[in-house]
Amino acid sequence: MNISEKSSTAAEILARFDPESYDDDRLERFLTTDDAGAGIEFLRDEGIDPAPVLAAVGAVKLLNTSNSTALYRPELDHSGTGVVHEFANNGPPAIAFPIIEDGRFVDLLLIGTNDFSFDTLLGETCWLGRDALTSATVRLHKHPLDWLDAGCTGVCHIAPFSRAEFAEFRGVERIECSDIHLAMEVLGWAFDGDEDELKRFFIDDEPQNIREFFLQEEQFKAEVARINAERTKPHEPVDWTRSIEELVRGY
Amino acid sequence: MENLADIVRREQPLAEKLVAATRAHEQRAAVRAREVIALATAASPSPRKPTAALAARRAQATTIGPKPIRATPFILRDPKLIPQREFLFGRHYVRRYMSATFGAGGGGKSAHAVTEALAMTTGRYLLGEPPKQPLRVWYANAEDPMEEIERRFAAAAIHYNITADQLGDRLFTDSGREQSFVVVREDRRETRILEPVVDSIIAEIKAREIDVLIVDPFVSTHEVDENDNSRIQRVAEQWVRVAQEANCAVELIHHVRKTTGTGEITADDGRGAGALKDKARSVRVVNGMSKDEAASLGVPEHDADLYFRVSFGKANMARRGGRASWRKFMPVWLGNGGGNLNAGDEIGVVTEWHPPTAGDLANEVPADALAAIKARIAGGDYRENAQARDWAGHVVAEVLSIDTSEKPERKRIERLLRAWIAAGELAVETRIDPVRRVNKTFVVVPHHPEN
Repeated sequence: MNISEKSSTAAEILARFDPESYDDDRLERFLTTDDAGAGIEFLRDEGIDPAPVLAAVGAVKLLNTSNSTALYRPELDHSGTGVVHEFANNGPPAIAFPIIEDGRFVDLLLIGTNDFSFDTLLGETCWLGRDALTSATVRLHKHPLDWLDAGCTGVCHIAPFSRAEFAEFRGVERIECSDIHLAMEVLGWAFDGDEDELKRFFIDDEPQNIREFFLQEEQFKAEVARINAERTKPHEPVDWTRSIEELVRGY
Repeated sequence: MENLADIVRREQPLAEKLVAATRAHEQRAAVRAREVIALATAASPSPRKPTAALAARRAQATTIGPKPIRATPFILRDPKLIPQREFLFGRHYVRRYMSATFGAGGGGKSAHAVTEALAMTTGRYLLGEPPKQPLRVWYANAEDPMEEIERRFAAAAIHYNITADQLGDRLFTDSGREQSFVVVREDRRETRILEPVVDSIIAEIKAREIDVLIVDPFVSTHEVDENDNSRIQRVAEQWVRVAQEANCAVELIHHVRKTTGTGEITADDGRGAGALKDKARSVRVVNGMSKDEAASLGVPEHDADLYFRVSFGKANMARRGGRASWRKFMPVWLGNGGGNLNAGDEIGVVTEWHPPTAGDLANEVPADALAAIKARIAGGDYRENAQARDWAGHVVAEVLSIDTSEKPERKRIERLLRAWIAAGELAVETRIDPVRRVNKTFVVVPHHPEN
């Protein structure tokens, strides 16, 4: 990684990035691919305004990939979702765009255009928009397309297998999120589930999703309580005065 | 946009009430059912009088309670009477024990497990010694969809010419996408063992009389912080419990943490906390073929990705220092492309691979090149010691155009020389070094009558 000027625009950072400095020729393939606007076209089809996206990430390209699981390689499955995107000459297309942190080009994010599964190319980062975590107010997006749709503002966690990075929210005063489940995960992992920290979170999820979430939580708690009660229940002495039929019914 | 504290204050009591109401409804239904049974029982004939034996059992039954803990005196008995450990497959799969295989991504752990499962199920010689008898195996892949699991087994069946008759009813496969194999979950501050899941797995293994359960990968069987040793220990304990209670061998496939790609993976490189390794009775590691290994074993560098070796990273029950077993991926096309021009999905099937011996390497050298090497060696004093300036290997390198500055290449030459010496093409002779006047070993051409 050779660029570290925060004041540079994404396009400048990208233009000056030297793929030779990173021992992975897949980055070079991304940089040299002539996309002819297909990546932009995909964004438009998804109702995403390409202008702020291009300003933030420098380039969005549509590349052919191979997400074959024939020789599944978990070390390339940085998202832990079981899907690996690799550049290939044939295979389902994915959009790819640079992830820029602290003025540096750190990785590429690939999003499959058929199923919207996503993964980083190098596993160098767990975030989109990590720089925003230093702000007082941060919007947490559930999916990278939501982050793109928001003009690359806020953050999106892109390593679902790991939640340790949620600790980076500890310095954020106001966390906005449109997914109740994700917000509660952040509460659990960043703030150890401390109810005093609930006030940091602001939710605009659908009312039905919110109700469903709490209902499922309570059902789970009740089920665990029931199982634990059964396990700790002392054995009752067998009443041999009862008939065999009664005993059988009792069990 | 609403503050989460307000949402929790409003929604949580509501959810609690809803669940409590459901529970109360269920309880009322249960009470009603018991009442119906009681009424029906009242109408039945009076119970028989208990016999003396029943009375004795009754007296015993009333004392049932928590079992007190006792210290059991050890009795030294004839070792022949102690049950033998039940190794089911190789020295890794042991009945009533949990084992694990660690490996980097793409190393072939899952594909290896598939071939092992088929070897165990068919009782055939596919990877190492076959089991003593065909085993009943349950392969649970918690990540891949069912059709991907089917592809892998189908490809291996094609490669090894395995028929449905050979499998019988002994193989079971399941996907974690269709039923969860998560046995421990972390929910905010609580670590919860999902007892119904564990109990259900044990019950199913018992019902199906399964000998070996392979769970791939371990990380998908829990939702706890994988770096927390005590939590991972609880997860590992559940799988030990499954092995113990269900009387089967449990094998867990586990990823390793990210490495630089150059180091040798060991049992200490498992992703997350080390408790899994400590709980397992046997841990194997999967390592890809390095460039040096490829060169010394005569494998083209661009093919090295196809090879890997499996070795014991920790073996409480097997002899230490065992040699690694080499494996090779063989591409198999399923023929599901729907036409003659499309061979369909390509799947890598794991096969046993034996590295070429020194003799195999030597046989690849053309006869005229060997003759030239022998002629050159016969015409001078060439040492056996590879460190010596006048090492015989330099002659080999010159004739075969091998670069001796590369360590693997030097190793290859050493193996060639050893092979030719073993075959009698060359010999070793101890004689006085003409310069330093001390005993040294030289490589010579033996004087056969026909030479």
